[in-house]
Amino acid sequence: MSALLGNKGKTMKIGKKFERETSFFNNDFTYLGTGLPGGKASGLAKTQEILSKYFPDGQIAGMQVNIPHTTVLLSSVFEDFMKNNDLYNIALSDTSNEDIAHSFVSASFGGLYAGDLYSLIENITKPLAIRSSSICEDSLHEPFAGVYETKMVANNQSDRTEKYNALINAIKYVYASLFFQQSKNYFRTINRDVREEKMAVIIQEVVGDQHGDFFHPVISGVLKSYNFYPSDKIEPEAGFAALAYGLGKTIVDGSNCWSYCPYYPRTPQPFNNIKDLLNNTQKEYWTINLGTINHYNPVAETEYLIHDSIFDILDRSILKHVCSTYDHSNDRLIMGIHSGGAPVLDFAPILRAETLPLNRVITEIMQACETETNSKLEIEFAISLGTEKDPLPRFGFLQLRPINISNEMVDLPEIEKNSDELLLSSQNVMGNGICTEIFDIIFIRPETFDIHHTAQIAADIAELNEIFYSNKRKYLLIGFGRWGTSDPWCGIPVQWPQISNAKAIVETVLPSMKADFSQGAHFFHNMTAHNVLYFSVDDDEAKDLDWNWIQEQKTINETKFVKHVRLQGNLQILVDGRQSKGFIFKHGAKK
Amino acid sequence: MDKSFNAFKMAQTQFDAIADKLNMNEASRELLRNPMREYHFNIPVKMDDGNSKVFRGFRIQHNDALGPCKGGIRFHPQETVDTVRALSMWMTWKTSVVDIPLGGGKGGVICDPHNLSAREQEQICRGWVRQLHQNVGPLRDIPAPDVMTNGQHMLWMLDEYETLTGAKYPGMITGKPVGMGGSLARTEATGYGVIFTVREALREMKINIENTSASFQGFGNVSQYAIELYTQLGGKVLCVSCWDQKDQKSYAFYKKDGIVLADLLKITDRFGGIDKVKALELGYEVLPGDKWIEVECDILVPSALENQITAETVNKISKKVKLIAEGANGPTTPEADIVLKERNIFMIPDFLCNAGGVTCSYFEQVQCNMNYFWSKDEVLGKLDYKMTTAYHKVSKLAREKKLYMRDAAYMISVDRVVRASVARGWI
Repeated sequence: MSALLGNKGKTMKIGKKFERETSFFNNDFTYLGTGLPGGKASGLAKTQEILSKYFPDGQIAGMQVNIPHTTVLLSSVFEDFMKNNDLYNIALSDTSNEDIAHSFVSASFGGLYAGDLYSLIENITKPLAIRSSSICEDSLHEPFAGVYETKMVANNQSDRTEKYNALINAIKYVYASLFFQQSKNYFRTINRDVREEKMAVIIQEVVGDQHGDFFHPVISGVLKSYNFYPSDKIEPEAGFAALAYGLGKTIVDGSNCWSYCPYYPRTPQPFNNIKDLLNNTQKEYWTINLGTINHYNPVAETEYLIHDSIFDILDRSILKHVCSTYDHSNDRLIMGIHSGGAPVLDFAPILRAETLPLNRVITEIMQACETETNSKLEIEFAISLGTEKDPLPRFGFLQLRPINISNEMVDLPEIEKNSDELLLSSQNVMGNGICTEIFDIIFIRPETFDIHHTAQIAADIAELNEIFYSNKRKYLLIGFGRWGTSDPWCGIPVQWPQISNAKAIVETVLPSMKADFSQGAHFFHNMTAHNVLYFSVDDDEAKDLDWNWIQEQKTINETKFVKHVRLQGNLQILVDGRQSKGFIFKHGAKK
Repeated sequence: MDKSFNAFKMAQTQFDAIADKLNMNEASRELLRNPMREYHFNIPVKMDDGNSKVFRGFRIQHNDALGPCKGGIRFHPQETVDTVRALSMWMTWKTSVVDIPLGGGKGGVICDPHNLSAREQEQICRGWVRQLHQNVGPLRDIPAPDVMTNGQHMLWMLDEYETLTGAKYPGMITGKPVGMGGSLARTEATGYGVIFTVREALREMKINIENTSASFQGFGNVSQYAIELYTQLGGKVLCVSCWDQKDQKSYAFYKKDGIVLADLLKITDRFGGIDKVKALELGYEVLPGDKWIEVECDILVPSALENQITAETVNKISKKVKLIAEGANGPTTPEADIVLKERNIFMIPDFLCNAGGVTCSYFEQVQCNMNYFWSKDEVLGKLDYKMTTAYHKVSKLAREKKLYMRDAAYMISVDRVVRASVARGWI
């Protein structure tokens, strides 16, 4: 994938070898070990080139723009760690993720790297993010979004040894995540052997501000230069941005966040009314816990994180750039923080009043990156507000990766809305192309659907997916709410490998389950990368979905919540990505 | 070993030179030229055949101004008290140069463990402690393994000490097995420490370690782990020498393409002796033991016994050699040092180069005193940091004052001990 980022299969060209005497914060980009940097680090290296070329003074519109201080542990560190500790036996076994993680945490970096890592932590008191940088992402052109774990460490302990132990345990945990079940499933899905993978790791300063015992960015964001769900008047090329308060985990996990088009930041989101908006905006955020850690758990991704409610924020002035206040008596929103009302994270002060030049910054950055890479891109970033000592707000560039766009031209036929041949249609379809290989449908049974049981539904679907995987068959998946969310109250919390054999996915609505898809989520990135056709069906379109026909088909498997039916003939699925429109015809009716 | 060589005289000569450089007063010289305390005693042992045999034991405490004495116990048939005196003085400089709060000591027993059963060795260990238990211990003098002693010997000694004192003192002795009060990474510590300093020296010399080759004297614990880390860093080892117990002489094992540590370890006995027949089968050239010094390579690592690079042997060193890292104690004589200085061969002196062992022993003692044990990475991280910091302190002084590295290391360590002695009001 990073081939177009210009670093495929090559060692680091950017940055300096980590030297103890110059320390972490004296160089922006350093590396340890030898070998490959992986997709994420290659993307960051490319980004640094672009930023230096286009924004040599490190600023856009009064905002600092840079890559957070970063040290990359190149692939040799991983290889030495695996070899010297003889970890492949347990790593490739069927034992639990926890057991694998504990084995990795107990292993040693040995004489090669322990001293460098002990030195690296010296004089750093800011929280650090330990992130994977997959070598296969480079060599196999696969996205690997969300397959491996990221771990944040508070790094504020007074004892240097405690900080060091937290850092190395986090690195080992990220290494271990390569061999977690979800990762093994992913490799199986793409017909690859997990042993091909070699992992580089990025140790990166977390961009953010301290608020008491919490540390997080005021805004985390994902920016795409191609919008897979463009509305009527907006071209896909106008792009798309998703913003969240706090750490970016909110977005990549597929939870509620604020989405908009950077070219039209003032255009309101398509909520039907205020209540709808209140229900579907972000209410909880992720932050790093700088206070006492009560539960030592080196094999938990969230060991140093807190998931807190925005309503529990005592000093709401920290939300001044990102929220409006709900005026209950008048049933309206007032931009900014006001007493007597609940905060609503609609980012209106920034997007409408430009209290920070965020939109200008991301527009300029996206243009520069697109020009340099000649590709549609996804960018992850974080914003901090600055301090008294360093008052300029900061745009921290966290990730750059290309996104797949299909160029196949598909002409949709004219069709009667309530044609018998039509299983469903949608004006909101992601992907592009024609698919005629599907003879099976897995669907969530509307008659038994219960929002309390979305986790069980995900498990049932995963089990059926296993059968399809073994038989090398594809299927159409139909369900309610947001697919791939980590929040079981928003939709079906499946991970990508659990539905890997779905060729097309339909997200429809029930009165009890309405949620828009999050384009910033890792799940979403995997779907676009694997050319899965994704139909979002709204209230009107849902009325035309022919449930009776589906229920009449031959049942192959069923659980209380999920059913698998086999068709007499193949479905025909047509998607015109340019118009974001698509049809699904019953067993190949439309030739 | 050259019978005329006297290690203590050499240690005193080295000290005198530094005392002159530091312009040291007479009292300080008197204090540090000789050990503060010496214990000489007999250890009677009932042997397995029913006869009794008396072994001669020593403990020399050179100086404890910086903290309790620290140093190993050697079991060696050619042990002399002067060797132990020299080694105890070097321990004072060693603990001081890496800036750990310990003094210098050394002990030994004249015996050959190869010819003793485990029970007989245990009796020697227990007898040694019975003679000394009032003069050693976590607050006075902390012994450790050395030539031909190991973790088992330390445990016997600890057990005897705790029996005599009636309490648990895991910090009384170091080098214990892991799980019995030992520290993780203690086994690797000396060898890794040698290579930490080699790595830093090469970095300063702007030589890529991946383009270097080395020859090692000795294939015991120090060499084995030094070779492991050196090869992990990309270096190539061309030759190792070792003592052959059966032939009572040493051999050097040479391979032009570089030795394979794992292969050699498979044919090595527990004393570090390599099976020469199997080595030949593996394609090694088996040469006389003293040939290790003549190998054309970049780095020489003498890691066996003292007095190996002498006025006589120093001229056999290849012109290609740029660096000598003294893994052993006292391998280079002052006469050889003069030649090495002239040839501009960079020297990492013994008491800095091989201080990884005592540094990790110090960590072990700290852990034992806390009764809380660290992870291997924690030990190795701190060890690397400590060794690297000490190396750069010495190297910086050497550069600034245009000193030979051994002289710079001595000046730093002797100065620290003198200051501590003055602060205590001793001199």
